[in-house]
Amino acid sequence: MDFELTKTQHMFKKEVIRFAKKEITPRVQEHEIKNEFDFNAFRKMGDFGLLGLHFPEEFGGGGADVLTTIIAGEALGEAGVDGGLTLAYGAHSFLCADTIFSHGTDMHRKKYLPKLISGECIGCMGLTEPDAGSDVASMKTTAIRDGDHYVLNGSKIFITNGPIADIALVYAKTNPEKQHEGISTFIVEKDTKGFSSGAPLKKMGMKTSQTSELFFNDCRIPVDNLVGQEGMGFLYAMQTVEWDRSALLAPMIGGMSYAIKQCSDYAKKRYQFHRPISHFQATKYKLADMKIFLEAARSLVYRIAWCKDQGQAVNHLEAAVAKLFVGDWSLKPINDAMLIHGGYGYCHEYGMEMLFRDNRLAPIGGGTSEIQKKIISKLI
Amino acid sequence: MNFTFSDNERNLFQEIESTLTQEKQNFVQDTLHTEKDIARALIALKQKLTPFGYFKAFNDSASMGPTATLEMMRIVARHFPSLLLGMEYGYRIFTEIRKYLTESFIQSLQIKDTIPCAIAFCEDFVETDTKPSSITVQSVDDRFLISGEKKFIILAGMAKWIVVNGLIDCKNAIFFIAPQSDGLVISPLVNKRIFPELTIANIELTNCPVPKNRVIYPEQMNAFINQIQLFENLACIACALGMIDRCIETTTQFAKTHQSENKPLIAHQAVAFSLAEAVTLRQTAELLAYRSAWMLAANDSEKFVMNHCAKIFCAESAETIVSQCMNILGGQVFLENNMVEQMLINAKFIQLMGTSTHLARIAIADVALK
Repeated sequence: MDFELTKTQHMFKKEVIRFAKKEITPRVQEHEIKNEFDFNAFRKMGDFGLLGLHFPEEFGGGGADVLTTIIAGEALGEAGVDGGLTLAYGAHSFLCADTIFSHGTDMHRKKYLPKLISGECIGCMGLTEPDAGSDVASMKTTAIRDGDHYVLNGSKIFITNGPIADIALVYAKTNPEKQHEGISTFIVEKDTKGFSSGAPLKKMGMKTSQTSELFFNDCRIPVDNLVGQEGMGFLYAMQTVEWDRSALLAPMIGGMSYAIKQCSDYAKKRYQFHRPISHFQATKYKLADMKIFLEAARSLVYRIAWCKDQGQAVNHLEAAVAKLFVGDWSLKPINDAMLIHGGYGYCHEYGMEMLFRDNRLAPIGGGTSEIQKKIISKLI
Repeated sequence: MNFTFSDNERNLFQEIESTLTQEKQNFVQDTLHTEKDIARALIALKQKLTPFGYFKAFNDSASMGPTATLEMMRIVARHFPSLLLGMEYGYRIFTEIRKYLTESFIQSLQIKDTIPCAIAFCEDFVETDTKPSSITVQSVDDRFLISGEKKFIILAGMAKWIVVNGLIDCKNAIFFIAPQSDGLVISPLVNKRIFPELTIANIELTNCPVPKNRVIYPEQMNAFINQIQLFENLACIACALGMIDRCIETTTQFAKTHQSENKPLIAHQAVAFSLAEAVTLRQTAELLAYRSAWMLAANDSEKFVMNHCAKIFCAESAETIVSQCMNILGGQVFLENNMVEQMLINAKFIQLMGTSTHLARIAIADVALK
């Protein structure tokens, strides 16, 4: 066993933190309070190479391995980038672009990846429906073949980047009679007739990411927009959600490092009863528990990255364990981070309440904790 | 990075597993009635494990390294948690502190074919303070007369030397005391509920004479004590992981074979989810433990913090998992000599052993606050 990061990975992490602190974090609070997506920061992430880090250079990517990609996500969190932007980045780069790269045709890759990697276009993924969340196979959206086209009807919900996306990767049933085997994957461009998005949903956290419904009303798309094979969509979705359970968790790990640093700085300066609150054991306990969670979760997330780098396509157990642990076990330490700040922790200015709200998505998005338990218990 | 063991390491683990399975009868609880039985079992187990390189010091080039050694320890703990602690406290800790001793001093200890040492650092039943040792020392000719009490000493009754820390003129010192010394009273904890096959005792020293050539003053006293605590914690980590394995294995087997409402227990969502949580904690604990062990080999600057993190997480996860498994196993766990009930008690005690979870949390936070 070897848990060492390479020197290059260490240096790259520092570079990403430096970039994010300069180009993104100074405006995080402003965007968060206005529920605005930071288009400028997103483009700069593209320019820096973050949006396509793990894609081949021929498409404008960085050719990095998965572990390095995950370290970049961790670095964003550690720099204090809000969960909304990193969620948008994840939905764009992993849930949308990576599926096009992994299962799309050469034409798909050449047409869409360079624009997605540079940040010129924004991508989203449409899987969840109003009546089909954890139970993906019960989705109602259909894609019925009609000559050289598929006709899409139905709707999607909770779609990150939905209102701002130029390209949607949509899952729909080409054979409504079937369950999982009836699901296929399609690329739908923004201005396609019959395709529209709803108004941004008002959420508890991740406020800078724009989330909405997607509507398909006799939306005709060319058969060439089918990604991969008909009926394989569920498998693609499952491979995609592995990113949910690794790369999208990484910024939360980084966020815990950020919280520890903030709490430590605050606790040393904040005096109560004539001494810094860092001298109180109750404060120390909270900091220790945050650190224990951070290290435990980091190991799990790095492991998924390593598994993916070994070419293991579907790491169900490892991914589910990481997602469940980060989802469920992060709630207490992130709550502690807010409590260390007392009343200030409840105020926007100190950033802890934003971390708390953003983190509440962890046990829900990308497969609820219950779904992870279901997966794990089946594999026991 | 590499998250797997090599083929060689995996083969080794398998060999140890089958050796311990074959030898199980010799080391089970009902054959270990007295201190002599336990001492004999420890020596026999040491002989079985030595050929696997189990006791090699980590800085020895022939060592399998801390991560693989931790896994070997975990396998032993899966079968014999009490004996694992005995071996680690009795043998490995001494192996790891040898570098602080001169060769002539080691020779003079005459430890061949014995259990070399029992570490006697703990002074309170519940270790909640970092106060200096209360042992008093008086210099008389070529001896020191030492007085005071030490608590919860593993193998105190059977080790060749009891290793006691104290202060001489405000300077830390380590005393190697023979168990048969005058002024030393060893009181085994006869009715203890923890780790039945592990001898634990309190000692009382009253002007106990210790020859001056049996005292060492490590130049790097903090490093010396840290080293001991690190290996105590490593033993606790392995013990916790072994118990977790055993508990999940037992409970899963039960949940698959025991029926309720005409279906196996594991087919009930609450049971399945509870086991899923247990498996999640186990995987997280083992990864954290491996990473902390790897840091010892890498001499990482965070090795002490990670050692504390892993010890706390593994020990507390063991308690959580055992408790959840008890809910699945039901009332049978409260029958006499039930392994799972014993595990709950042991898991709790593991949190106090080595560096207590309280002190470890304070140490972690102090680093975070720097």
